[in-house]
Amino acid sequence: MKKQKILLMALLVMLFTGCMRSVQLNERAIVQAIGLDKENGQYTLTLQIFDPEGEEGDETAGGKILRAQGKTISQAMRKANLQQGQEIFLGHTKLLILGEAIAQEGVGTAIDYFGANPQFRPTVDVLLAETKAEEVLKEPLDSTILPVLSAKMMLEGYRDSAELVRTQLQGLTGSLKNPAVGSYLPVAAFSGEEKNPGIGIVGAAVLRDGKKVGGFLPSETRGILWAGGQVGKLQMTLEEENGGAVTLEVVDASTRVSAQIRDGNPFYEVFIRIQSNVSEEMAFAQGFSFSQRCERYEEEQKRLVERETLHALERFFHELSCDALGYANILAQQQPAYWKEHQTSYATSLNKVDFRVTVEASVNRGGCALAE
Amino acid sequence: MKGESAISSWQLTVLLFLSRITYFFLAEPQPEGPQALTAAIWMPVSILASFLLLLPACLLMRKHKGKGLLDIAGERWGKLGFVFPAAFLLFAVCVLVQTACSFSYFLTSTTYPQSSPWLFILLIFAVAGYAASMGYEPTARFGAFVFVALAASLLFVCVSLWPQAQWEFLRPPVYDGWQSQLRLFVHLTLGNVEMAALLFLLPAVGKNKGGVFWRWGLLSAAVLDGIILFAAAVLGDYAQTQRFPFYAVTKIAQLSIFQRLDSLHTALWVFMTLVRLALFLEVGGKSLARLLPQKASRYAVSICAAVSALLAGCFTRWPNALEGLGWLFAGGGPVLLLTVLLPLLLLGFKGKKEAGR
Repeated sequence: MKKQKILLMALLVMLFTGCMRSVQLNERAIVQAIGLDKENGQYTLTLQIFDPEGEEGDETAGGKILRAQGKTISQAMRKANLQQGQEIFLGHTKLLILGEAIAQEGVGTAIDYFGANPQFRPTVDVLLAETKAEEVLKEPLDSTILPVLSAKMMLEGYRDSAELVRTQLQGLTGSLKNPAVGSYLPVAAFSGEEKNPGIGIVGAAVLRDGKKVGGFLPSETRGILWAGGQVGKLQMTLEEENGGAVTLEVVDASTRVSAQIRDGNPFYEVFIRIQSNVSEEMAFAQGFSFSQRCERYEEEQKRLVERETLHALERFFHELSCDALGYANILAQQQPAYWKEHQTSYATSLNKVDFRVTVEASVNRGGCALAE
Repeated sequence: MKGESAISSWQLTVLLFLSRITYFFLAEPQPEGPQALTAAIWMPVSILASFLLLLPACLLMRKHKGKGLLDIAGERWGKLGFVFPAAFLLFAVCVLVQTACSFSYFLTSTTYPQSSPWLFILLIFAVAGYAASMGYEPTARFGAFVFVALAASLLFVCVSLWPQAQWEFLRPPVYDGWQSQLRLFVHLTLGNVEMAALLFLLPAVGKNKGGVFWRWGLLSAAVLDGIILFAAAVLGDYAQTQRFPFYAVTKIAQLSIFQRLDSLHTALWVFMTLVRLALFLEVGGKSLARLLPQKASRYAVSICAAVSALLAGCFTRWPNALEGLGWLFAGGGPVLLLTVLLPLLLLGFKGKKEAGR
């Protein structure tokens, strides 16, 4: 009797397959990337949909592109749904690319829309298109790996490459909620190479109140990462005027920021600590012992990191008047009395903010060092 | 009561702990509410205050060893003692309605936006009613399994998101005015409905009754402090946009090949909600059994579950009433009445029967 009861209960479990109607995989359009543009008051939605089979002879196997327009993003999404026939699923979206026009007007509406969608994940990478998002997501998609996936992998390794920044939906939404801070986004462009099409990162855009106010070149972005404490195991190549070069591999880096008030204005003390290994030497500081060369490398690295970080801070605070690094949170935590009084005027008086960067660089001398 | 289904002090601790944590998982943060650090500081203080508030009731129970408040009220006040089961019943039904509504709201707003709240309410009350009808012990054993799963889930979230935590998002309590801090303190102390459940269930504990409060209080304060601070540090300003911040934390937690586990976390919270509902259904069911005739008392838990499910379903359509219920609990009135005022009255006023003796 007991066994029968257990069997009956086990069979009953088969009925509890979910609270919603089932959707077969072939009835679902799995979106890999979303591009959003705005022109003449109309949103243009570009969806790159995962399509492993495709039609026979179709060069776009692996993915297909769907475009729809609407007065609102919801309307455009609804039209895309109707065009596609399948149920559009946003749970696997990897990239959200916003067009330049949206960045000029303000990204708030778009971010609110996607942030409120329960399928959309907070870890989706948000990028800004150099011109139009649909340009970035344009065909051909006949490569073995979708350009979206390779762009995603590139973004995941941002700490180690240090030539691009990374912002996810979660961080961008948070920065839009806090009027004191801004944010930055990687700028994407379609590489356009016929044989090897892909999405390239061509810089970083800075947003204040959700609107684009300026940008950084890829060569400047390393300073942002130093100042934001986001550097991973990157390689730094130091060059000498006589053609000598050395590549240092950063094995550990950390950034500590403290906030003070000097002359009635915020003062940020940025302390960066770097530990590196010598990866490759090419006629750099010839005639010195390895230990002496390491001292030279430390000095050079320190100078370079200081310069890059100061440049990024100068541009953010004094040129673009935008606290995209979120230093305001440190100020609010460490100087509550000042913050209570000045939080409303902080964003408009960033040109009065001062800072000092101190770098402590050390090059490991032990282990399998290169020959003396 | 002890003879019916005795549980160990650790089992009761786990049940109360899970119930308390569930409340915080399902609670919506107030936009102008205090900062995470302020809440974390007041949490242990509220445990001390709760202890002081429970002293009269504990004194009463010590005088009547092995008896619960309902038994003592019956002994001391005779027929007037029905006030106690009636008050506990009303209280339990309100907690059940609030929990079920929050639970269905959570599921319909995060996971199944197109589903009806009735579906979740009826399903969970059917299961919780069955669990409650089995008695404390089976619920407590299920609670132990949920406790281990919760510990594993919290550990996973902490390990995976530790590098992302930005502690500068924790702001000192000076930003919260004294009124806001006072409201928070009252909410943490007198909004703690598990205090009433503790008094009700304590007689069912075999040994070491005294240790239950401290174990439960300190464990929940430590875990809740950790969750609140960690969620604030990981989410930062993004938390302001989230109705269920800890759910948002689990959505971004990923470690190696373990990714997108939010549905697993949600399943765990369904279990936790089940434990909370079963706990308060037992409180409500046992109270109702005192008020019903002997023959009908065996259906007390089922009646309590059915009424609560019906009310919860209706309350999902009356957001103002639900909000009012939330404010009632946050104000602390019901907990103050059950854990302090009624026990004090019971301690102070003896009925004719008891006075004559």
